[in-house]
Amino acid sequence: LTLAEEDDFVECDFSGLCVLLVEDEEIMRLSLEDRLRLAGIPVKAACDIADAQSQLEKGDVDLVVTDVRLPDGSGAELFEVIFFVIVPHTVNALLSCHFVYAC
Amino acid sequence: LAEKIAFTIVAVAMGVGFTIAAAIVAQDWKRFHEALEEHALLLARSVAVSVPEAMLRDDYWTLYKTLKTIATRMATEPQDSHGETGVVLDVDGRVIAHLDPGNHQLDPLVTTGTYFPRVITGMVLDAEGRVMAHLDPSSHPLGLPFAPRDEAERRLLEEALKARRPLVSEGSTPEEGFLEGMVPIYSGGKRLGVVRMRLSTAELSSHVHKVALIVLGLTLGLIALSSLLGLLIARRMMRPLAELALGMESVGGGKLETITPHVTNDKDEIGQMVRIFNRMTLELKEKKRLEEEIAIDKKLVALGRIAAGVAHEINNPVAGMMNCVDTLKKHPSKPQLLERYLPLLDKGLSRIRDITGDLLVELRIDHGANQPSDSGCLEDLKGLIEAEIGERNIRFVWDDQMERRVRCNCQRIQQILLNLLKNAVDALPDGGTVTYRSLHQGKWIVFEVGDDGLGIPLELRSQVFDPFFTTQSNGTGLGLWIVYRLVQSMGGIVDFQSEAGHGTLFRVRVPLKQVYGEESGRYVA
Repeated sequence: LTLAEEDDFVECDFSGLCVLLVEDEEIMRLSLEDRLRLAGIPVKAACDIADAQSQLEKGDVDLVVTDVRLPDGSGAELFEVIFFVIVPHTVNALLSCHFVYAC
Repeated sequence: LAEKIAFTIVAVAMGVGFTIAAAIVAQDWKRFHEALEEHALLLARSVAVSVPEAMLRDDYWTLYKTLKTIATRMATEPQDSHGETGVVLDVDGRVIAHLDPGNHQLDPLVTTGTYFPRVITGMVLDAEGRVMAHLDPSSHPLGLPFAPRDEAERRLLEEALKARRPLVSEGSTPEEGFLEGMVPIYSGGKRLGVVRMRLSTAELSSHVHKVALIVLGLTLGLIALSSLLGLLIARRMMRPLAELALGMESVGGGKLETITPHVTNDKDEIGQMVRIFNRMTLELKEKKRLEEEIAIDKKLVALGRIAAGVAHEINNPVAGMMNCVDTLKKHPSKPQLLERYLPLLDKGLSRIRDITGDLLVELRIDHGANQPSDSGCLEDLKGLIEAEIGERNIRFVWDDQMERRVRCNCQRIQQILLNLLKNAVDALPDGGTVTYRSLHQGKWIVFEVGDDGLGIPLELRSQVFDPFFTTQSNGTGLGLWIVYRLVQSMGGIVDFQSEAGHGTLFRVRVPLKQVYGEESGRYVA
């Protein structure tokens, strides 16, 4: 995420929203987690689709941010899982370093 | 083939030329021979007609004069024998009338010039064979029977004495060939004797020789000319064929760029062939060019894929690291962040180093020197893998059945085996076993690296050798790809068998090349 994008984040009011980060690259996942926490946003993290799915089933996720390339599938697949299988109304947007899925 | 055609043409030209020449010479000889025979008869007849009166009178002098005159005078007029001119001679042999008086003076004594044909001898014999007159009176006394010199002469004499009508005989003395005209002399129905006139055939022979020489010369000239022409035609015909053959040879050898199309405007079959060949090579060239372009395209596509993979694999840790650095800058008051990020940064950097290192290995081995050396170098791997295993509870079985005289390209094979063994060690849970085996199998050297781990899931098997494909969190995904590329570069084959729960066995087969001479050991390419 570039600085410009981060400024957009700050302008929005994300308080009370919980973010689920899905990223297999450890350093990326940890650093993003820290940044969101430092910005006062509650964060959950997952390293693959299966992990993300179990976290989503526990609930309390308002936003999912995922990488496109994941060890057990693609971010698009995760999007479909969330949208059709789990709880469609919770999800607002999916982000990745390649694409932005908005809905 | 050019020589064959030229040779055939020369042979045919020679055959035809000599046949024609021989026919001409034979014809010529026959014609002159007949002319000579007629002339001999004419001379003898002339004498026979002129002498009966003198013979009856036993007038030897008149006989001799007549014989002499006719022999000398008539010999200069060979054309007379053809009846083209007419001549009337008196009893003394003088020309008393001639159809062409302007050219023939009525004086027999002015007969000079070369004789044609030459009279060798002439004689008049009476019915009993006594000499009545002879051109050489000193050796043949008058009134005595003619004495033949040898058997052949005696037979001719008998023939002449028996002759009832004019005839011509052929014979030869040691000096020259001759024709003899024999004409019996009649007077009032009574046979008085015989006239013999002998003409030399030496002039005939020399004439025929001369003609033969001229004809031979002409024939040889014609043969040379026709041969030259034939050679030229053959070469003109063969040149495009020879160029075609050259062209076809280089097409066969795959050297399309060395062909220079032979341009021809000929409308014949060869010209047609040349044009077809030119079109064919052009099409082949075009096809080859397209193939090369496609090959280059493929290479570029592969390169692009690798580059994209490298970019992605490196960008991921780089983006994470930049996040860390940025967070540290924004929150300098939190030392616990530094503690948390330093190992992460370290790990990310190592990852990047590994990827570039692996790519370099691939590049280096691709272009570096690859000298074969003693296969014992593979023993070094044992230590490396044991170090890799370290404290982990993994059994390592080393089974080297390779013959010592086999030499191998150590750098490549070491790299291949190192990657395979490291993979096996990484994939194994504690308590597993890694096996290494090398052996000969016909013309191949086989290396087997096995483990008794979990095996490769079915759905991932097709991607095992893809670059950047990895199942390990800290892997670059380049190890097996490098193995694949290296084995391929040596003309070998790499494959694997995997069974879920029973482990995986990678098998590398590399062809052996026989080496003769000083290094009479076999080695792996």
